[in-house]
Amino acid sequence: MTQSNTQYTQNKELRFALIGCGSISATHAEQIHAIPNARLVAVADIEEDRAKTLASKYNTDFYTDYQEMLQRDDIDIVNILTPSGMHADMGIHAAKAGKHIITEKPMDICMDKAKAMIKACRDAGVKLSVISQHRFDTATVQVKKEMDEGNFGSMILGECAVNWYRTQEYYDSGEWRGTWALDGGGALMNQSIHTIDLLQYLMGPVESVFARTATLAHERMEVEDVAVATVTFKNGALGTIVGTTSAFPGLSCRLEVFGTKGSAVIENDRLTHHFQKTQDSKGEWYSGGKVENLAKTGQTDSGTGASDPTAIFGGAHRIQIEDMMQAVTWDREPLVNGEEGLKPLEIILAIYESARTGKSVTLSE
Amino acid sequence: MINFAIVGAGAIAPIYAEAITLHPEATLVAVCDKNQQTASGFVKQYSTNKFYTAYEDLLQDSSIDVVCICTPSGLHADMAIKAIEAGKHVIIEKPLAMTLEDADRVIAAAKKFKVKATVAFQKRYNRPILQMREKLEKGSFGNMMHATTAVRWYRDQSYYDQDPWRGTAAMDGGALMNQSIHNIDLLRWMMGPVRKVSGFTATRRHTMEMEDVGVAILEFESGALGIIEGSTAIYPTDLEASLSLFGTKGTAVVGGKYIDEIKSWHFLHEDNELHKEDSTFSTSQEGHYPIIEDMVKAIKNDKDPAISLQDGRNALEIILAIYESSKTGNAVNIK
Repeated sequence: MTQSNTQYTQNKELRFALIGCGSISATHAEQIHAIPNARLVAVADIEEDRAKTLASKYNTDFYTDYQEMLQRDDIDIVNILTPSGMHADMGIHAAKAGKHIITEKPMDICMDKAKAMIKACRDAGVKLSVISQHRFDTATVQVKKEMDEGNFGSMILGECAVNWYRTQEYYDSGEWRGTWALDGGGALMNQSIHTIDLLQYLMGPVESVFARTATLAHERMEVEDVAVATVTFKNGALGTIVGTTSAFPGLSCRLEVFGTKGSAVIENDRLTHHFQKTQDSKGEWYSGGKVENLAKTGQTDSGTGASDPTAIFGGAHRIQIEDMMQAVTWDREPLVNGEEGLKPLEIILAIYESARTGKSVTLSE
Repeated sequence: MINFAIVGAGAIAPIYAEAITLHPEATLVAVCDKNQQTASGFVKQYSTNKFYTAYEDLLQDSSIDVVCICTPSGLHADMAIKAIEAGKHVIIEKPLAMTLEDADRVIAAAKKFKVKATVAFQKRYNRPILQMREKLEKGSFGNMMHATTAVRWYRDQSYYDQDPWRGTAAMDGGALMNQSIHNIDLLRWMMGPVRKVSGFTATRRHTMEMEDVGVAILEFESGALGIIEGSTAIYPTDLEASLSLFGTKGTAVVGGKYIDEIKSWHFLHEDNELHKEDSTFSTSQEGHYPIIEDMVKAIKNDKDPAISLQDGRNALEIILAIYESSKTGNAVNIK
């Protein structure tokens, strides 16, 4: 996929603009810059200094009013990198201006607005891609392929554990951080969403969740810094989710999936354990089926943000941006489109509801 | 010398026999199994004098100080009570009982007859777990925020088929009650009382009455949160048994296949160095020895065993709450 992407992107130029010049904008700007036929033409931020700094680094125009930037007709794709609660509103404006959209995760913090953005994009005939760069990690791609081929059998158990650490200074660093209105949630909505997305991507659709959340280690934040949940999947498998930003000094991020014929553990985006039956046999594995450890070294990953959010490398972001470029040119859906982006959001919102009500919450779709 | 007897010469009995044999102040004097061949074969192997096929006969043997209850789980409570009523001290293999009512009956009997009684939660003596406990008691974790425990093991169908009682609700329970109970005890021991439990169980791989996978979330009385995960369906072999504790000042993960290796060890403003040999030491090298040792000491010094029947009840209560929650779909409050 990367090969054909590269071939393709050498052929036709697509022009990008960024809305929001905060911490994640560095990754987007850098990766767009690194793709031969992608060009960053403009950036916008309500804080002029931030917009100016990024613009001068990449030699682009800058705006303090993103709506003004959207008027330009030399922008193909807009990347929305603002606080989470602004994504859908801005996305709808961008769609109406005829721009394709890459939005950072979560696509919004409210289902209705997220759905409205999907509709606005469909109505305007533009593509929508929601950042979930870890779907492009080598480990994810390998496990997903084996599962789709039935090599894991029926699924039994899936676990997502994001035991990360964010200091109080991190939450104090942006007024919007740790607020319901703009961050939309805490450890789950901001940090664990990637791994929750992978959990449902690999295990299949979620049926229900039962959860508890708490704020135990941080002050001056409205949202949770620890959450625990049990999950039932539509296929009958069970799962657990733990997400925290208070696990000193920040441990690995673990995703584990277990089926009747295969097991995989992905730790910090790398496949550390992958056993499955590699040839068909009747009966149990030891009586004829060959079981191999397929975990390999030398995998692409996207870096770990266990304790430092700026340590998230951009490699997988680049692959997702390239996927969007292909989608635009070949007029196909991006791999993580709006409907895909809704899935982890719905799970997280259901977890919050369950934590509020003390009851199990069944997902609607 | 303290004289021990074992009732139930099945899979766990040799572990007891070896530990008793190893202990300088303990002697294995008798074994009881309703199958005469099993019983006589067992005594030969451990050069013990006596075997019984009737439990009542064993209990009348006045040379016996301690009875180790190694029968299927569903028989533990009644057999323990009979031993207690005969004036014997008891070591009950986990779980203490299959119901809280039964657990309470054992507790009441032990109190009434003033015998020493304990439950075999030998994983508490795993060196990394002791180190974790030491840090906890020193306050090195600060305030506890959350804790997770996972048992990801594999048992094939023939394991469940080897005895008719395995995997049944009445006599064994599933992956939580049989395999994960050690981890659940450790979680409860470290984190304190539980306020609320909700969970799900399922049988996904095996043909059996009870679960081969279970998941649960907990709220502790301290306000901390927890997760329990237990399975015997992790293909193709035992992967992990772990306990992770997260506090405001410290994080520790003990994992490995059998909860016997330190995986993470971070404490704010403290020396986080560990000696490798210290951090991997495990009771898997000595089985139930620390449980036997503790019972010998308790009898000699007339003190309570380190692991009480109440500890056995606490773990049982959590597991039964998960089973109930899975049935009703509601959270279960623990009194």
